[in-house]
Amino acid sequence: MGTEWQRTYLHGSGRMMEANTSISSADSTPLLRRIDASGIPLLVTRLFLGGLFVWMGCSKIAEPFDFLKLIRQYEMLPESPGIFLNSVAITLPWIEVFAGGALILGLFLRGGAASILIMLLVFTPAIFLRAMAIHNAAGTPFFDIKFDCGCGSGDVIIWKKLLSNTGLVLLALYALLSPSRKMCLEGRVGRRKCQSSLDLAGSPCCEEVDPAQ
Amino acid sequence: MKRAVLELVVLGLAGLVVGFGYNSVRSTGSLEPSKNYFDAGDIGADKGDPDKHNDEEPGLKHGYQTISFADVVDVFNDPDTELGLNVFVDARKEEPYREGHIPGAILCNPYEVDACIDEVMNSAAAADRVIVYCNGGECEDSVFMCRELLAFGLDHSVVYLYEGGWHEWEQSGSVPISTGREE
Repeated sequence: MGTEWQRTYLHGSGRMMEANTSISSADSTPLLRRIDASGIPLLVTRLFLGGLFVWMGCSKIAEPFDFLKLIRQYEMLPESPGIFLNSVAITLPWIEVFAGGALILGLFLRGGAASILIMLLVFTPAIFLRAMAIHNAAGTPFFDIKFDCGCGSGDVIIWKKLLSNTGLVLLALYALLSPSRKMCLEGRVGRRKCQSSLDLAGSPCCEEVDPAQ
Repeated sequence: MKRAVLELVVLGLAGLVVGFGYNSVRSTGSLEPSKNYFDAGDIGADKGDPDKHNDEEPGLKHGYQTISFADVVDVFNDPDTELGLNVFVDARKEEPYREGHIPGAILCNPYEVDACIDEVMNSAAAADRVIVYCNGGECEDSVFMCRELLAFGLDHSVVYLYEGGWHEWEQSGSVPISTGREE
């Protein structure tokens, strides 16, 4: 028999209102969940990942033709008609900026994290395939291959890039799945809704409080 | 998860709207959405000449006449160049151009051709040769610039593609180099 969360909600004057108060046995909240509930790991993740994508997006917006030439090299889209490649070059940097901004602000957080996750899951295999093509065509050892992958950092050693991208995928997954909403605008917006509503079930503003704390 | 999908769609649409909106108003770096910037404009195929195989015939690349380093140096040293009868076009971006270029070369890259084509065409109007180069190696910007020159009315017989490009010129150590902007 595990511990059940006591759902408590902040309402208006700040008085705690109780609902679903059945609690049993001692606290068995996993350590990781308690750390996550502090909001600190998610905040660090949001600021790092969001800042990185805002910076990458801005560097591409500043040099659109360089980015266009880079995405052409991946051969993921036809060159003719030009609308396909050009549309990606025009819109993708802005999606990176908005997704990064969403993470930093903690607003549309899951959408931002999902956007970043999708971009990473599309481009990371593309980088790998391009590296393999170079390896097969020129015989260059895989761990010596370097090129500009279009990330805004210039030429990079590809195996290191693939490793770092894997880490970014994990961070994006964490940002997507973490239930914490501390220190983010989403949490504040939700709290204001709570103050004017008694909708207790499934409300995004509801903060689950460990009764043992 | 439904909320995440909705937010994702909103962010995507925002990127689409703002991206195209900004692209339409920016003064530099604006892409023409429907233009194929990587069309080499193979003139062999355009002319319908079955004997002109673009990358297979010696002295031609995508149908454009190529020119070797030795010949480029001869043209550079030719007194006719001072008279404007031989024109060099640098198809790179401004920053590498400023760091070093063939003396007298006009800067004009194929992605922002509207900003520089008038200067090139004015200089090329009376030229016997217009030699186009970029970095060399795998760089194709010189090929795309050749396409633009033909599209703006230059005859293919005066256009030459210097395949060795800037890297070959610079690394030779035996030819002059200019920096900054040409006056």
